[in-house]
Amino acid sequence: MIHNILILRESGENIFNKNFSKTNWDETLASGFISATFNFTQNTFGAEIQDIELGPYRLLFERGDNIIIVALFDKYDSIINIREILIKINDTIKNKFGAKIKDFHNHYLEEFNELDEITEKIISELSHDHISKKIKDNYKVILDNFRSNNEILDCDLISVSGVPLIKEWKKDFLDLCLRQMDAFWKSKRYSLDRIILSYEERHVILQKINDNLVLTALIRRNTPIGLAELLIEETANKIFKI
Amino acid sequence: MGILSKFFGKKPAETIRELELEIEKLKIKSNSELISLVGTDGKLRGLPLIYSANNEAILKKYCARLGEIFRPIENIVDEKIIQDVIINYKDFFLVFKPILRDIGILAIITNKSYISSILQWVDKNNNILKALFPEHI
Repeated sequence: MIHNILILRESGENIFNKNFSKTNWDETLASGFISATFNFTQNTFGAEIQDIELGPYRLLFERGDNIIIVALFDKYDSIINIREILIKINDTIKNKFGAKIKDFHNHYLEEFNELDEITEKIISELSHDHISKKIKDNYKVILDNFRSNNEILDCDLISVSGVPLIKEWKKDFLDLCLRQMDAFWKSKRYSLDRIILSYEERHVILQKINDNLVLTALIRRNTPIGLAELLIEETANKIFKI
Repeated sequence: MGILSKFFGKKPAETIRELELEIEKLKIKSNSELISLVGTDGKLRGLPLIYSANNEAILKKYCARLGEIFRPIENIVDEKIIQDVIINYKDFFLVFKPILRDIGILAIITNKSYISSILQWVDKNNNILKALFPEHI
């Protein structure tokens, strides 16, 4: 869950701050911390910050023209989905407020009030999967069929932006899948086709179906990996054809 | 003991030396660039206190800046206490955890799985650190 969106100039001045939950963070301290961390990083490491884990939360950044857009969210939420939201906010800011931000000191903060509605709309739009009920019902039939195999303990579809479609996963298992997808996204930008996690003769398989969907499955202990791959490929093909 | 002799003239030297050795071991075990207890405010602000580092000059430079950066983190979010900060870079991780008032531990590591070893070390040595810095409890 996103708790807060903060938009600041690279110099540390706040442009906009909006809370989406009761989690109350000190935007002035946060701006100072973020700006100082970015400056320190640039001056010493010459490396890009990917994200910051702050206790139970995570901070993710998107850099625009002279601005940094920051999301504070729960540590185990999908980075992919949050990144998508930040990129969309950045694009909108560039189009609507680019000139004002360039000439920031000749404008009032009230002139950025429209961001309140804009951020809320973008978060609401991108936090959903946009798949029609009819198609979802079709997916559900295929998944139920897949789950009826003795070898399959559980399964679900997750959008590449990290939103589970059927929402039947246990939270800890969904977290595990999302972390794997995030890790691949960080290093290879959506280029994963299949991830197999194996532990104690049990496998978790994440199979990319298309540019939007990943099929995830928890395989029963001692099932041969070849059989598990065959089953998940068959199901992925059925979903791909819809 | 360099910086230590200036600020810890009255601290038990044996304890400090033991902690130095432990941090050295932890640094080797976790393949860290550096691990240091660092002052975040007051007269200790920005100082590496007990440490092990591949490059001492770089360590001092980092501590001088990072102590100041991390000082406000405990108050950034008021719902939950922030117990640690991990900055994820592409090839390495910067870890900071407040331990006592105005004192935290800073580490730069290349393998994230070792973060837990560093945090466990802090928990294990918490009482020793409290005894060493009673004015910072």
